[in-house]
Amino acid sequence: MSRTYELALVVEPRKTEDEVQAIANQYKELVEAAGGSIEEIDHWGKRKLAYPIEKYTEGSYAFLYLTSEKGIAWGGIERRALQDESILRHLVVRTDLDLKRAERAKVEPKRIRPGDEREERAGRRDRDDRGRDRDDRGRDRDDRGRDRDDRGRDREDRGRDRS
Amino acid sequence: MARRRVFFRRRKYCKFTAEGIEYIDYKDLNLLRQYILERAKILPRRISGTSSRHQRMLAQAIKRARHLALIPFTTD
Repeated sequence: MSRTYELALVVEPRKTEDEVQAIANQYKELVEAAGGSIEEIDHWGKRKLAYPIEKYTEGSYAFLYLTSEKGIAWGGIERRALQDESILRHLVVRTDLDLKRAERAKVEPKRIRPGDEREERAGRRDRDDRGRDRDDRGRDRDDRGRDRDDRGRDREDRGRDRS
Repeated sequence: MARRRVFFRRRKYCKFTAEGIEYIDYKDLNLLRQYILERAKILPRRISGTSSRHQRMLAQAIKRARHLALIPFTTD
C-alpha cells in the first residue's frame, strides 16, 4: 500500500529561480532519506500573495509530489522547514486517503442495521384530537383587572394532569 | 392550518456529487474561488447546494489554500 503525499513550499521572493530550485532539491533529498520517492516537482515561480507574509507581497511556490511504501517521518522535515528562514510557509498533505475512502464506499454495500425494524413501529402516536376542543383550557377566573391579593401563595389552579 | 410557502426553493444540487469528484485539490484556485464570497468567506451549503461530505472537503481545501496565501482570509 503506497501512500502519496504533497509537500508545498512558499519561498521568499528574494531568492532567484535557481536558488528556489536548490531549496526544493534540498527537501527532495530529505524526503528520499526518510523513505520517500519523489514523483514530480512543480514550480509555480513567483506569485502575488493573497496577503502579506513577513512583509513580503510575493513568494515562490514549489510543490513536491511523492510516494512512499511505509509512512514518512515528517517531523524532522517539517522542523527544518520551520527553521529555514527563507521558507515562509510549508504544507504537508496526504493525498491517498480520500481516494481510499471512495474506493471502500463503492465496494461495500450498505449493511442492514438490526435496529431499523424497531424504528418503524415506535413512531409518535397520533392522538387524533386535532381540530376539536379538548376542553382542557384553564377556567376563566374572572379576576382580570383587580388585585387578586394572591401573591406568594399557591393558587392551586395549575393545569391538572390531563393524560 | 398549513402556511403556504412564500417562495420556492430552487432545486440545488451538488456539483461534486453529480460529477463524481472524489478529491478537492487546494491548488485548484479557479474551482475554489467559485465557492467563496466577496469578503472571502466560504459559501454556506444552503446557498451552494453542496453535499455535506463535499462541503467538508471544500472547506478544508479552502483553509489550506488560505494558509499558503493562495486565497485571502478576508478582503477589505
